[in-house]
Amino acid sequence: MAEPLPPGVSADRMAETLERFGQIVGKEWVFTGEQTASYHDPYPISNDDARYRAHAAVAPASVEQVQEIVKAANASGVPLWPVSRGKNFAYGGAAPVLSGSIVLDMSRMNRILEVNEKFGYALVEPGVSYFDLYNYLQANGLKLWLDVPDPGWGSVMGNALDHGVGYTPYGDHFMMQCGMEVVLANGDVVRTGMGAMPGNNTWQLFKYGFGPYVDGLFSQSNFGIVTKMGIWLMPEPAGYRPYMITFEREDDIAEVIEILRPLRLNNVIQNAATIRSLVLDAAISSTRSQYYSRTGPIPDSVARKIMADQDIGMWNFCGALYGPPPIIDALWTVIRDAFAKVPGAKFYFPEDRKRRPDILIHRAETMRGVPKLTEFNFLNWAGGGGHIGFSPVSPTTGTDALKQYRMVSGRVREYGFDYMGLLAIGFRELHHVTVIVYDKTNTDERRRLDECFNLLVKEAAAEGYGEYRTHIQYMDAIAGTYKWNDNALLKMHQTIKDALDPKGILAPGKSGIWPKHLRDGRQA
Amino acid sequence: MKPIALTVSVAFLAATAAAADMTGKEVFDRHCVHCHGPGNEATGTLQLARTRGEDKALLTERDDLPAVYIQMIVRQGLKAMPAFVPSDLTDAQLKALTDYLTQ
Repeated sequence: MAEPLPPGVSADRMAETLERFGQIVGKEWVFTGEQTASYHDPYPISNDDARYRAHAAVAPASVEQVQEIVKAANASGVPLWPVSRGKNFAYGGAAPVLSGSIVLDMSRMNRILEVNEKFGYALVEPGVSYFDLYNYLQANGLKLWLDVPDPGWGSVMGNALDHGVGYTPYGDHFMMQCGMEVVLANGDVVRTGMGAMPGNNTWQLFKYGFGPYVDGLFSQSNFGIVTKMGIWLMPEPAGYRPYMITFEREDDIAEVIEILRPLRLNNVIQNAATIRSLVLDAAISSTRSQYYSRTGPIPDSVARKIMADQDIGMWNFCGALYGPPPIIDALWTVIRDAFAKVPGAKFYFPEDRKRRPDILIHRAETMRGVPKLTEFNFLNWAGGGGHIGFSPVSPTTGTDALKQYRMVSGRVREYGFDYMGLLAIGFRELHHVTVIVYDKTNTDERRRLDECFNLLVKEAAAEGYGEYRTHIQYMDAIAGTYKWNDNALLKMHQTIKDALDPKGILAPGKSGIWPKHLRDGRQA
Repeated sequence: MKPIALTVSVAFLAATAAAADMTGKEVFDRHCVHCHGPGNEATGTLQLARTRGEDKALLTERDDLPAVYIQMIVRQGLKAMPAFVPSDLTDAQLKALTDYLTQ
C-alpha cells in the first residue's frame, strides 16, 4: 500500500518537504517507499494496516540539522514523530500515532559526549544504546555501572524519557536523569537546569537550576526534541549478591508485598527488585508447547509441572544486595528472616541454580547493569511473536497487589492468553506490568487482544489504577482516564502544546496530546 | 563542553560504531549476535533450534540462506524479530552482513 499522507498535507507539499529534508541531511538519509517498512510497528494490534504508518523517515546527524528540519516542518505543516532509536517495541516501536507523520529518526546522533567517573554520570545523544554505553565503560575500565531495562539495544535517553525502569538501585531512569538539551518546535535550542548558565559546571550534577523545573515536560510528551541528556551512573559497589526467593501459591503475593513494603521503604531492599509470575519466568527458557498443546490458558496442573521442572515458584522475587560484604551479610539476614515467614518460601543464590538457561543467572546480570536481549525469549512462548505491556500502578500493599493480580489475570485468561506479569517494586508503588504475548499474524487474536486491553484500561481506571506507559494505540484511552476536574491536566497539556508548538508538528497524539487543528472529536 | 580533568572525565567521545566501513562480522557482532549467537540464552538461536532443528540454529553455520532473504528479514522483521532501520544498519552494512553470512 502507498504510504499515507497526514491530514491537510498534499502529495506535492510532502514531496517538497522531503526534498528540503534531503538538502538538510543528505538524500541518503531520507527514507521513503519500501524503506519505511522497518519503521512500522513490529507488533501491531490494529487490523487496520492504514493506522500508525509513517509516510517516510529522516535521520539527522546534528542538532543543527534537527533545527533545520523542525523549521522546514513548521513551514510545510508536515508532522514529525521523533524517536531516539525506535526500539520501544512493546509500545509501538518507531511507528507514529498519526499516520502520515515523518519519523524523525535520531539513531545517527549516537555520541557519548562525556563520561565522568568521579561524579558518576554520562552525557549522551539520543542514538546511544545501552550496549554502546556499557561497551564504552568496559573498554575504558571505568568503575561505573549502568542501569538497564531488559532489552539492551534501546536508547539510554529514550527509555528514560518514556519513564522506563531497570533493576539496580538506579532503576528509576527518569529519576536518574540530570540536565537536557532540547530543540523546540520553533527551532530554538534550550538547555535545562544548570545548563542554562554559561560557564556552569554542574549541568549533570544538580537537576533543578533556578526557577521552574521543566525537564519532566519533555518526557512522554510532544513539547520538544531532546538532543542531549545527562544520566547518573552507579559507582561500582564493593560487593554484589543477587538472590531469588520463590513462593508457591498465587495468593502469597499479598503477604509478600506486605513484608516487602517496609524493607523497600527503609532501603533494606536496595534495588528496583521485581516479583515475577511463573509463566513469565518459564518463558525465558521454555515454550508453551513443551508443556501444553491445547488452546486457552494453561491449567493449574501444568503450572505445577513447570514449577517442579524449572525449580521456580508461582511468584519469583529477584533482588540484589550492593556494598561492603559485612553490610550485605547484615541486610541478607533481615531479608531472609522476613520472607521465611511465608510458608514454602525458598531462597537461592546463583550458585544454587544448575539449570541453563536459568532465571536467576539471567537476572544476576541485569541487576548489575549488563545489557542483554535474553528477555525476548518470552516472545516465543506461544510462537506468534507479538507482545504488549499493560502497566497500571498501585500502592505497595498486599491488598492492592492481590486485587490487581486477580483483575488482570482473570481478564487476560478469559480472553485466552496466559498471565505473564511482574511487579516492579518502587519505593512506594508497584508497576504491575503484564505482558500479553500474542500471535501477531492472527487477525482474530489481535481483535481479541484489542478488546481485552480496552477492557483492562477501563476496569483499572474504575478502581483508581492508572497506567504509567502505553502502546501508541492506547494513548488516547489512557490519557482519558487521567480526567480529574473535567480533564484539567490534559487541558493544561494542550495549553502548553499550543504555546510551544502552535502548528502541531511534533508528535501529534503522543500521550493523548493533540494539536489544536487535530483536536476536534477527541476528549477534552 | 565544560572543561573537566581528564582523570575523571572523557569528553566528546567518538561516535559509537557508526562507521560505514564495518565488516560483515562487525555488523553481526553489533546487531545480531545477542539473539543469533551461540549460548543458551540467545533468543533467535533457541527458536531456530526448536522450529528448524539444531543444525539450522546458528546463522553463521548455515549455507542455505539467500542474501535477498536475509535482507528482507532484516528490513521487515519476522515474527518476534523486529526490523532494523536503515539509519542504524545501513544498506552498505547490510550488504557486508549478507556477504558474511553467505560466504
